[in-house]
Amino acid sequence: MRTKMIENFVVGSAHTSTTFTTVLFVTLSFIILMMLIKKFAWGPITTMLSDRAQKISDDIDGAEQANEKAQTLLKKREDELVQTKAEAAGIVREARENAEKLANSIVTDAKQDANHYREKARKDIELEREQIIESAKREVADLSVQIASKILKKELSQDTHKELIDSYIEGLGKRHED
Amino acid sequence: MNEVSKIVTIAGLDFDLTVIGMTILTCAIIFGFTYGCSRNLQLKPKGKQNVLEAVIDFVKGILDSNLPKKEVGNYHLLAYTLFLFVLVSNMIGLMTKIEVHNASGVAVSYWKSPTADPMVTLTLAALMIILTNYFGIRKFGLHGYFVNSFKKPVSFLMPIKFMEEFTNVLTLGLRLYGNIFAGEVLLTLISNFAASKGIITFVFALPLEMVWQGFSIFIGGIQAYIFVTLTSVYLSHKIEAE
Repeated sequence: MRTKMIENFVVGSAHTSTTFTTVLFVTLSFIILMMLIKKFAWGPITTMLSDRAQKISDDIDGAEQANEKAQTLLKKREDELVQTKAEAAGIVREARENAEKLANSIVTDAKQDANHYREKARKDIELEREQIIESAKREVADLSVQIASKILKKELSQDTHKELIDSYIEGLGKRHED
Repeated sequence: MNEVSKIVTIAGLDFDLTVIGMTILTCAIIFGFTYGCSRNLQLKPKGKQNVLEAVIDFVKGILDSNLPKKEVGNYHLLAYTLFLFVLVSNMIGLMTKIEVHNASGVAVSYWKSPTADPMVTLTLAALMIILTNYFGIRKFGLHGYFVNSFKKPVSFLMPIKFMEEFTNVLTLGLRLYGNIFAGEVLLTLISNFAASKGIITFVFALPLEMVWQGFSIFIGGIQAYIFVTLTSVYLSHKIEAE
């Protein structure tokens, strides 16, 4: 019993006859296992892992580039917007100036036209009045002659008669003109 | 308490059939897992690929915290294989127990964790220490390796540094062996207790066994993590110039 107890505490004492074969077998099996894994599985695994690492770093780089591109694009758009606003303001200002100019010219033209028409109308009126006066003169003369000839038919000759009337009418016209 | 393995003799050499069989099974499980999960790998992982990548990333995390950045890729496969080997070895013995009583009445165990055998864990530990020294030589050349590993920071520590190589093997191997072996011993004790007084002890032993199995899974995972972490620490001593 005592010797058996001691045996249990001594490493490797249990199967001394198999020590060499066990050591050899475990060593070989471990190395063969490692080689088998290397031959059949490790290649694809490491390839996949490095591919993935590559892809992740590529994706990060791509994202950075895309971000940069977006930033520059945004800057460009903002610049363009500012420029466009300035352009639009310019166009509006120009249009307003043009409109004012046009309005002014229209008003001026209208004033000119109005003046022109007023002038023409005044001339027409004057002309017409003169014509009316002329015709009135003539008619009054004829009328007077007729009246006078009726009254003085027998006492006055035609010539003296006319002379009398003319002088009278002249006096009438002068008074009228005054 | 001592588990007796099935031993066969071929050509004058004794082979521990139990350990050999369980090691082959462990290797088969690891290779099957890795091979099965690495079919149709995609950049956008789904299903079993996620499981594989979780393990790979976990191991990578262990290496990252101990090795310089550019060295991690060189030892990733080694650490991955080592981690899964220790992890699966620790777990596999928890599942069941197969014992056959031979003609002389000794219970021969046919199913156990390979890491519950000291020779297996010491072999793994020695293999790792030898590999770390080999990697040191590969990186710095024989002279550079010797100076970097044993003469720095001060040369009078050289005997201790030499001794450390051997104590590292012992601590690394025996820590794993002790944890897993103790777990299996207790599992065996609980199962013996279950069978001792019929149905009553069986009912009491069942939850006990389940709790201890759960704890052993935890221990197994922790030990696999520690084994890989310490290996990477020892490796960093050899391949990092101080």
